[in-house]
Amino acid sequence: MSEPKIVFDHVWKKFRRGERYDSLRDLIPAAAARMVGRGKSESAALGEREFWAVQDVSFEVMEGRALGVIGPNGAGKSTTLKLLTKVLRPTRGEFRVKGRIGALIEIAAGFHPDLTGRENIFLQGTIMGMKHREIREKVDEIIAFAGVESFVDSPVKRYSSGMNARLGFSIAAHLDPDVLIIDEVLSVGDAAFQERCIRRMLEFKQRGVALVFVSHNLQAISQLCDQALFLKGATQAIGQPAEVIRRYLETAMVREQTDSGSPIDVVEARLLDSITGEPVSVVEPGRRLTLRARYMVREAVEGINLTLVCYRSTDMLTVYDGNFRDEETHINQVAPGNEIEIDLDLSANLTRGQYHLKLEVFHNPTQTRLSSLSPAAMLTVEENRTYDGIADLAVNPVVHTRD
Amino acid sequence: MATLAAEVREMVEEQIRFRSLLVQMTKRDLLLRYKQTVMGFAWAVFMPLIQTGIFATVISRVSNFDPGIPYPLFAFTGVLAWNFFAISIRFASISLSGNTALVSKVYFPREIFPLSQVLVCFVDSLVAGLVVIGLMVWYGVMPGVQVILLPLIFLVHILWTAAASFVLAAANLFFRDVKYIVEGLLTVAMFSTTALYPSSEFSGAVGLIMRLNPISAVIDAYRNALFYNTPVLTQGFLLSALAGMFFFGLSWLIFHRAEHMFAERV
Repeated sequence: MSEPKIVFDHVWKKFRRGERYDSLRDLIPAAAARMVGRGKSESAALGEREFWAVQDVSFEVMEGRALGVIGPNGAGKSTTLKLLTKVLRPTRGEFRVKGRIGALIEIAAGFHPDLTGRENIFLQGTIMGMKHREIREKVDEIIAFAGVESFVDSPVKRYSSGMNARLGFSIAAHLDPDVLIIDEVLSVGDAAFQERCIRRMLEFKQRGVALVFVSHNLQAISQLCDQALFLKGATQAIGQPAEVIRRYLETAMVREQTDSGSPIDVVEARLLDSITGEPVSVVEPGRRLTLRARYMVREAVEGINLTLVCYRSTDMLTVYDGNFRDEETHINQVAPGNEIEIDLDLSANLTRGQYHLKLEVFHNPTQTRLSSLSPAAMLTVEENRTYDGIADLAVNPVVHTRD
Repeated sequence: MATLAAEVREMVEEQIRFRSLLVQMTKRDLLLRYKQTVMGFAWAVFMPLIQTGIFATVISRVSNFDPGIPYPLFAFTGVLAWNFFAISIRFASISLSGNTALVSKVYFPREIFPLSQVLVCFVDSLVAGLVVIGLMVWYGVMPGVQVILLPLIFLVHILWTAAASFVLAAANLFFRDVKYIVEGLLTVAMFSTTALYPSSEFSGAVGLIMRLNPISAVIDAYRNALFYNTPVLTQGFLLSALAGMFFFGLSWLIFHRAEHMFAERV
């Protein structure tokens, strides 16, 4: 059993809102106490205007493993990474990182706009801990990976933001670290580049690098990570990515409901097992389900479309979008002032993953949205088959021997 | 005591580990300083020349003392030595607050920011030092054997400059007032050194202040080594060297102890 590359042991980090010192009179004694290394420099208690940005967070990352950190904005994700890279010092708790750390906290943080791409490669590479000789050997590869060959001798201030980001990631991708720490790099760059980033990170893992990866791209987290940490100051959940992502989405998905008062409102919805009639949230592919939705009809309106949209929650991919008109729903025949319930029967023809459903009411003649409810329901699909992706193509390998 | 020794060892080891970064950052700043300028390094020579020209004109009108060598040579050397100290500090004191992205996002020893500024100015000064050689040839002033101590003078000069740079760079993160105070002081402070006139011209308190100014001792040492061939290792210079070592160590330690707060303060 090898030792973990990263141990984060009950780490706390305190920040202060606003300015730290109001006057010299406050600063000098405090600073003096700190310099001498005495004084209760970092006490456990919260002072006025202080708050815990990171609260009692612990985790371990083994060689060749990846930890994905997720959470809302301001949850302490970046702070955690900065603690790992020693940019910040924990208020309490300890951590150990074994071996060379490569960090990509903000792509291109070390870039200087007036220097050329090539000059910046040397600068940023050195900042990231590469030796000069090492950079010289890899510089062509870095340029090619970033795809900036024709601009490499222009100052980076003339680069597009995508080029900047690609060059930044490319330098990090050519590091040879034992531990790689990455903050939200997949939000930049086009689809092809993102794909390349993910592949590169998988290669790092295979080489035995321990990865810590912050991203809002939950799909990438579930693809890449062996373990996920849901952070919101304190640890909300840690463990299997699928489970942690589900927990995160449950709290992150705030039900958005349009103001009531429109002619027709979608009031409430529940997802039920079609056969037993019991509420469900975790199903296997192909299960028959019923989305039971309640609508309030205040005025009789013609030309209503009820829509049901299904998203994959991890990347907001639309997997289904369907409309139902008056002829199917008969909602135009409901007397004003009444509520009706409509059962939308459906099959969970989905692959493994997290999904949520959205209900909307459209007025077709005026093309206006009268009401919406999202998420109307959340759904986890579990299966044991080995494929990923969004559809089951029912592929069947047939072998023909040729001789 | 044992913990202090360990701390100092850690500080030094870190610098050794990141030495190629110091070189890269110095290169970066040298590149940047003269990028998109037409004259490039010529600026490093040009500025002290103009200053010397002005001072030489003014001072030769208001006083007449005999420095024993042509006054332009005397003054240019003084101005150059002072400028290295002053310009280094001016750039170093804003070197942390001006690199927000790096300080708050990437870890490496923060000493590199002020130190690279000092090194950049040192390179600049060496370039401008070619003028000193030119003037010596022109006036026929030959250096004697004392010139071999020049590297030692460089070292003491750098120690003092780095000492001031460390403290001011860190202080400026906590109080942005520092850079204005530095600006103000530096414009006046040159006249309390022997950059433009020998301290022997002054008696009483003024003369004492000039003699106590550690940079005066450095400037005098340059002249002794290059022009007068009188002993460099005077009592004044040795005192300045010892004090320089002490303050360099102290201010590096202060810088190092404050370092962990930089990312939150920048």
